[in-house]
Amino acid sequence: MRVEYINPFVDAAIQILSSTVSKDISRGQISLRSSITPMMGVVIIVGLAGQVSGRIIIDMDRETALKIASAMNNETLVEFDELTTATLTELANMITGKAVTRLHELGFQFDLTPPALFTGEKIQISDNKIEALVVPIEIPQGKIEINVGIKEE
Amino acid sequence: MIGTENLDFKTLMQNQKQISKNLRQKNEAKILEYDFKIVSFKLAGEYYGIDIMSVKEILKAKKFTHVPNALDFVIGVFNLRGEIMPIIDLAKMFHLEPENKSEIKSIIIIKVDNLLIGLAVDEISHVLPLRRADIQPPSPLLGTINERYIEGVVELNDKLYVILDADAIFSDKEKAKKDILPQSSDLAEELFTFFCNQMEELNVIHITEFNKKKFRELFTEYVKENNITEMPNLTKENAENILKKFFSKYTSQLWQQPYTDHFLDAVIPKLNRICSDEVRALNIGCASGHEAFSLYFLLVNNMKDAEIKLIAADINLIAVSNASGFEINGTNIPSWINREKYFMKLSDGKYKVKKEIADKIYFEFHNALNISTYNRVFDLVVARDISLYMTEDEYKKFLKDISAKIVSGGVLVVGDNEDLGNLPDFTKVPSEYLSVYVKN
Repeated sequence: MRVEYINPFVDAAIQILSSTVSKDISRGQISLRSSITPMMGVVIIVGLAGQVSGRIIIDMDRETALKIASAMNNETLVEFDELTTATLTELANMITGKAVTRLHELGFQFDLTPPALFTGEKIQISDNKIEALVVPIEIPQGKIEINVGIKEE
Repeated sequence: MIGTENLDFKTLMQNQKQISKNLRQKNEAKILEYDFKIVSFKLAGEYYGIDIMSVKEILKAKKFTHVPNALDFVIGVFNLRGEIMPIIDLAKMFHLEPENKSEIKSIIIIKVDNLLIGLAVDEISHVLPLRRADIQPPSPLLGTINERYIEGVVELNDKLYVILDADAIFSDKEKAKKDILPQSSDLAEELFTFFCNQMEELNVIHITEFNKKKFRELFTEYVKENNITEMPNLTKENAENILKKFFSKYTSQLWQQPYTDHFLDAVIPKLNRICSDEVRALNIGCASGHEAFSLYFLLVNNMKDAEIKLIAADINLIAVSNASGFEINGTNIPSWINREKYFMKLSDGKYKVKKEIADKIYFEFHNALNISTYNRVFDLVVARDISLYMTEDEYKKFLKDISAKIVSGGVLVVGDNEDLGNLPDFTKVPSEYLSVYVKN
């Protein structure tokens, strides 16, 4: 993972989450992963294309997802309905959008695909041809993992 | 020949006895809530305890089979209803003077990581309930090794019990194998293993077959210099200084002559054979960039017709992030590097690498264990001293993966003191100063 790519993603995630979900936010140790990765239950994927190819995965468990969607809508959501999924995909859009804007400013050209949301138990993402950056983020609502895999052509 | 002396265990224990007596007087009245049980036993006149949860069984001494050429504290092996386990003389292992050289009377069988081990002790006394809060941590005076094996000391009925940490002594199968059943019974070998364990622990490194040879030399040197006759007891500072001697030349510095000449002699003719218009190079473990820039300048100066494509990777995110804005004191730039061409002068004698030069190197946050995810191949890979930061299996995997990423005729440079032995698919380039391998 090119070092220039890392900060925009970390900063964007922290800025967006702290302005929309909770000010009380802390980042865990950044790590690299290349094997099959089990996901926590709610997975939002945004694809990257252009100068590079890759994907950004935002991963959290169901409970955290509901709490985040509740916080963003200012009401208590208990079901995984359209509003919840729309809110979560919007969150992913905001984070990746901000990061990509930052990267544009630095001279890197990326395009984004619309976010896709998956839910289910025991989801695994196997993407062993990519070394992904994993940024764990803790907020009072729970734990979110941002998983960024970028490959240059 | 190196001989073992007794560690000054008893004096230290008496000290601690005194300390805990004083403490006890201070808080006479205690609410008794036991949450921990130990099996207590006697060894060389002193009382010890071991957590009952790790004890599987207690036996009267029976006949066991002696094993030739085993370490001197391994008395032999023992068959307990079909399961074979080694029996260890704890007194010998801790270098205690046995009270009387009589036969072993009792055996405590402990289970650590599914491994059964018998401990021969002088006498089993009781099972004692304790409160975890009463256990006092061992005094740092006991030294790192002893401290590691001792969970704490507790006073009960005017007796002082040293509580052993069974896991620390025997856990980690690899270490257990090393400690309990080494190939040679040679005492010097045992001390060397001890030395390696301390080096590994204090420096957070791995000593494996790929770098052991140099550590053996460094150990011999250390023993001679310090007149070591017993278990070596390294301080953190000692250990760091010894490790510095292991590192390849000019680690964390720009490379200087004649090292650069040796490098060029060994590497450039091989590259000229396979590269004409482009050199694809990979530097693993570039840290803050000294190695990557040295490599880049060397290749640019000596492969004039070729375009240099260098990827520099490290697992330390902060170091590798700073590398693209590489700064160095002017006095540390060797004369072979054209400082006007590559650097900008800052104030106070510092130089910063020009942005257009830094941009030529692709700095990457990367874990060398994931090398198989690279979708390109390389003509030159420089990965010096990586074996220190990987276990033996991880490094073997790394070598296998990197081999697939080097073109035929490509060059692999590892640390000066790393020895890859008979690396499949590679031929070692004869060089006194560097470890260079060429892919067949």
